[in-house]
Amino acid sequence: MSGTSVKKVVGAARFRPTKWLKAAGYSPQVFVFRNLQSGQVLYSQLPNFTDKQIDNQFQRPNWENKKPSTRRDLWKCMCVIDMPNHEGSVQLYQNLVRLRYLRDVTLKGDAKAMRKKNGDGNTWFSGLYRPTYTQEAVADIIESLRKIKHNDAEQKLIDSDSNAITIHWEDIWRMGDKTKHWDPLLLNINHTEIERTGNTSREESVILKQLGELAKQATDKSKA
Amino acid sequence: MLAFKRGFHNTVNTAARTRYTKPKPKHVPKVIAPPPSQVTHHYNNLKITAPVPPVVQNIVCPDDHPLWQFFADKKFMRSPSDVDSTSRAWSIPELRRKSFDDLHSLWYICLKERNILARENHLLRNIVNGNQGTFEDVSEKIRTTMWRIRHVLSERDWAFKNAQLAFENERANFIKEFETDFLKMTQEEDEVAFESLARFQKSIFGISEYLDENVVDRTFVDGLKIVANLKLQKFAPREEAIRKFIDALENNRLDDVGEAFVIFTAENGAKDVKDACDAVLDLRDSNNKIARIDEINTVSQYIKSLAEVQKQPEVENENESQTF
Repeated sequence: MSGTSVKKVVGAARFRPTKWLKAAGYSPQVFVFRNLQSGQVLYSQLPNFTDKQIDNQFQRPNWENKKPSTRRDLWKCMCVIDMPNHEGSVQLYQNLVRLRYLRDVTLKGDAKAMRKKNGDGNTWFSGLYRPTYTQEAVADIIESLRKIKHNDAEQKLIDSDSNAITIHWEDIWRMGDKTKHWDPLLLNINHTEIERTGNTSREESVILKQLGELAKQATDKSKA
Repeated sequence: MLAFKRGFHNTVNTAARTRYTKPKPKHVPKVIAPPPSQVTHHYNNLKITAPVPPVVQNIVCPDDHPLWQFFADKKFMRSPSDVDSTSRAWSIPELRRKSFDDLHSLWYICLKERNILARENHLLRNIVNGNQGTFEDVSEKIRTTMWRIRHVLSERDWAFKNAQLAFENERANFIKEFETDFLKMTQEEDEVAFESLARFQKSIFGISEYLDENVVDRTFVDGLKIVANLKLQKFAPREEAIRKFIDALENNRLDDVGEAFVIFTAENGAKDVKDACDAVLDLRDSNNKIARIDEINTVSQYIKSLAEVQKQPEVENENESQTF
């Protein structure tokens, strides 16, 4: 052990359980970031991310799914999911990361079969950009939320009758057809759009912080 | 070979063999493990599903989006019958009758219309492969109107410049004529006289009654002196002190800009001008004559400080109103 130095782990670099999130004052949210260059998607429990998460969520990089860079200007927040409590948000994050693993490793072939192909039979791309990763992320969000609501009957993670789940989209265009993909599986989910004005890379952290504050106020109000 | 091991201090006691002791239970090492930080796990019934493509229906374009200005009636493309093909360009005589503001508005209306037509023309030429003749004709007519607007404005500009040049020769005569007319007016006509003086100083020297608007330059300073002298001469017959003040001046004219400024800012009344003359005489004792080279800077400083003084009472009033 003498030759290696142990780096101190802070912030989003490791998995954060419910207790830690509550103690650190974070709202029950899951943050989804999108790579502007490649279209790849990164899930995070906190409003920021680290290289550890990229390593964790891109475990089988190949020429089509390269390990994305940590450049913060290339990552833009795609959506923020407000959950009713921390148990729900942690569960959602774990489900999303699991689904990523399934797509990349366990069920690689199935995932590939569902993607749109170009003439050469490869995943459709334009330059470095592959839109399929963002679309898969939307599908995974739907699947995870659906399972959380479904399993809720036994686990009582969230109150399935309340419409306490809110998704703040950077661009509402990306959520897909609401009547076709969302409503049949997931009723009672609010979709809002983050205001476009001022949503630049420089101001993004401020916007995310404000969303966190709003979510905290909402949960306090529902508890009271 | 016997293996000697060093035991603990209680080894002897524990290891001592006695006849009737029970064998001791085997030592189980104590496990010191922290509780796991991660007690929750992902579900095992998760399934991967087909990607969800984005849809255009989710996009709502606001009615006041700036790019709507490139569309007529929010239509992708107008039909040739919608375009006003029977119209004609504005003629130059028509445009000459319009004010600058009208021409300015008309110019931007034309510009916007040409942008719309250019977009439609581009689509017809490159994508739709339609007949863009009508659109191009209208665009050409608007272009004609636009160059005519520029032509009329340039005519006006030249007329103004020529008039200014021509007036340079007449300027001295005009000022003299005004002076004689102004001084001729009787005491009863004072109001009219000083109104005409205000117009005169604005048009010839650019001296505005509103202090902050003024740009101090050589013309301004010369005008200031002329107006101050006019004021003195106007009130000299009515007030003995002013007449004496003028007589004491070199060539009977006030030449120092600081003194002229004091007279200039005085109210238009014999008593006020006399007070100003007294102030000038007091100032003269301190002997701060302003050299010609410093005149512009000094006057601009005066104007600045005077404007600030005029603003201050308003600010105080506002503060008072706030405190109430």
